[in-house]
Amino acid sequence: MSFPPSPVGRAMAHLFDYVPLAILALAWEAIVRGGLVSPSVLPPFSEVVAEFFRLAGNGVIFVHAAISLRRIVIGLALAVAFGVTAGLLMSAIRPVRLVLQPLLGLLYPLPKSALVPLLMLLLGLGDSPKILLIFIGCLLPVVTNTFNGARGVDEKLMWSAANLGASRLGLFVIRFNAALPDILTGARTGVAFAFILLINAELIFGQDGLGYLIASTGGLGAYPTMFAAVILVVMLGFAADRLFGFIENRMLAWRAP
Amino acid sequence: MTAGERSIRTGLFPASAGGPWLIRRFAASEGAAQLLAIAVLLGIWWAFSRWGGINPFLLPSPEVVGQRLLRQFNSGELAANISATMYAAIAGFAIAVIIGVPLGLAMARNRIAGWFFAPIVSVGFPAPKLAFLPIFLLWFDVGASSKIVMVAFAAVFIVASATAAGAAYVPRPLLWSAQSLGASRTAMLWQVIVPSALPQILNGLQIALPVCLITTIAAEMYVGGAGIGGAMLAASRFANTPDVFAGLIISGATGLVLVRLIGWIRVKLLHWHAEARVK
Amino acid sequence: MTAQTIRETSQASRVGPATVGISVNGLTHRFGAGRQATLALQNVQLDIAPGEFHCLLGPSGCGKSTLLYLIGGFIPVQEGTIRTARGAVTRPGVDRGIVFQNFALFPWKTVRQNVLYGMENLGVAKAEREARAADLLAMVKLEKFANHYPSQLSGGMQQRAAIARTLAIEPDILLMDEPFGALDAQTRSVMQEELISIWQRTGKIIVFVTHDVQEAVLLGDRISVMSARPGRIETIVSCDFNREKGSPVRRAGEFAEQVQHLSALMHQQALT
Repeated sequence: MSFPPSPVGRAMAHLFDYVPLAILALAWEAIVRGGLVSPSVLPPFSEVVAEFFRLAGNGVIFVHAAISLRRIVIGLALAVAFGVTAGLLMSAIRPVRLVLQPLLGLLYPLPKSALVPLLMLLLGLGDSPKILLIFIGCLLPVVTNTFNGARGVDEKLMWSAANLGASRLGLFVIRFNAALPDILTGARTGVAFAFILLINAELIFGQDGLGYLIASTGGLGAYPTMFAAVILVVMLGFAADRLFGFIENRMLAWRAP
Repeated sequence: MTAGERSIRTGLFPASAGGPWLIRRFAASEGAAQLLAIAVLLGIWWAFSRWGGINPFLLPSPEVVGQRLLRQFNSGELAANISATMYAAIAGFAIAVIIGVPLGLAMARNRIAGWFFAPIVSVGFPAPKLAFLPIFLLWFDVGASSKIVMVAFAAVFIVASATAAGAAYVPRPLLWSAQSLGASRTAMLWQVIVPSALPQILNGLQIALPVCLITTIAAEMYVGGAGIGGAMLAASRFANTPDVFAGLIISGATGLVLVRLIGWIRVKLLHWHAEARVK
Repeated sequence: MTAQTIRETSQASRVGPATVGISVNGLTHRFGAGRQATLALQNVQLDIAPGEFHCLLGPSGCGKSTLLYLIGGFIPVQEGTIRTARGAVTRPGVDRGIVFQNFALFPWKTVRQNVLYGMENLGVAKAEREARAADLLAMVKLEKFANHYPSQLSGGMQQRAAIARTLAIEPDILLMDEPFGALDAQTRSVMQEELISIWQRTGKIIVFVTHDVQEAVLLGDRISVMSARPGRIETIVSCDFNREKGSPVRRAGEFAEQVQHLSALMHQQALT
């Protein structure tokens, strides 16, 4: 289907891309109402939506969502701050690279979710183990991408900067700017990891947050609520990724279209 | 490749440095760097626990953890856990590949399939899939099947996405040459599109396999019972730090083995590709 | 312009484009170490006079770019010396501006910001650097694109921006590494003419690397013909037949002769 190139047309084209999700929702509703699947196993879509609005109404879902998001933001911010610094230092100073690179290589195959029981054991059931888990888990993609981005900067670009009188600091700034696309890619991966790790931790050992909400309502048999929470989690993860992509495109507006 | 580039690739020692050939080869391999890192880490761990400044509850000594590992090995517990986890992880991986690769190919080459599945994949991709575990438990009950479905669900997005990316950009000259040589549509698919997309597909598989392992272990932690994750959950419930550490080591080692395995498979499958020559 | 011997001056005080030459002595350069080392340059001897347009011509792998980068100070000298009137070359400097084949513009900066970059580093006053940037952009005919990003420009425009950026720091010497290699034939000949007119206007030394015989003969006062394995200067050829006043076009007959002569030389080397 083609839409007119006006802003309205573009918005419509954008929405049209998501029609398959609407189709999926309709199919969901149909197979339950139609009796193909029992509603005790799969509550109808309409019921889940209604439940979502009820929870939004009494604020429950926002409370849990806020708790989860707060943990993600803090953990991610720390991971980006440390990770970018570490990646840049590794690319510039050889001893730092020699020390950190094998350690990171070792961290890579370890499933970070495996740290959940240990962190819970050591730090309890509150915020800190979850934030620490997100920090550790998101560190790797950020450092790796930053490091590779900084190292992969075109040599001729650096030579040009030196030729044009750049100081050591100036050269560092040039390298940072040239590596920025990769740094942002690493951060974007980190966003996805953060959601995954947080939900894992809250599901397994949570006392609050969206993961806990899913687990507890599942355990209690309040399935419409459970489904509503799951959908919210998926939507939040998606929205966060989109938002990040939007910011990325603004920051990198100079790129070739 | 200049000497500088070589030293960057090897990471630890410049391959062009002097010294006996054998030492240079050993030093130049990534595996060596990892072994060295492990050794250093073990050394630091041992030193810390010897120092006694850290509560042995928080950080058990390497000896104690080693003993636990040995005990698990001897009792057969280790083998049972690893095989339970690996079974679910690899079964889920296989299902994800069987569904994901054709799905990705369809998405790339068929406009309707592409339109229909695109938002599903793009919404699903960044979503934390473990959130669906309670749903799968509801549908399939506690046991291996719900785990396998969970793992397959988590991995299929990655596989389909990578396959679609690889199959979408087959170079036109390649396609046109095949067409002019009279290739049928099926032949085109299997002899041109799939091989051309293979590096990207394998990228997806290489990312998906560790994800399958992580998801399995995480699912086991939620449900309990068999497997590495289940053992770690039980250990943490009893405040049994050494066994939790043991589980961590096992997880890491299993992850390493899988990563190496799929890396090796990639090298074998892509021996004809240009990337095999860059070494 | 004919070749002159350079009289080295140790006083840098009265240095300017009219007096700065380049003197390369006994330059040898190896890549790698031990048994795997390749000899990129062997005992290169070269004197370039002030204001000369000097081409380094040779097939790929002959070390011409390496020689250029050594003069630029981007690669450290292993054996031999490189001197300009400002002293020995040990590191990059604003007296030796470089232009690369892939333009190497900072992609996150606009054309104007790229041109201003060097002057900002040198501490030139704001008013002056804005004025100089405007002049340079006008000279390379990019004034309408000053606020565009490099990704929005064609290859020829990007190269012009790169040249303006380098000229902004007012180098004594212009080093050019196959600058028109990435451009199509039409754009290339336009750029060649523009380069000649810039050269005639500014009187700087230009060291120009190329593998294209026609380009070398068109542009260069003198051409160092280089050969590979190991890299060295085989012959230095003078193209001192007159340029027609105001135009870069040479007299047709001598041009063709020279091109033929050099092509034969290069062809011979390619076969060895």
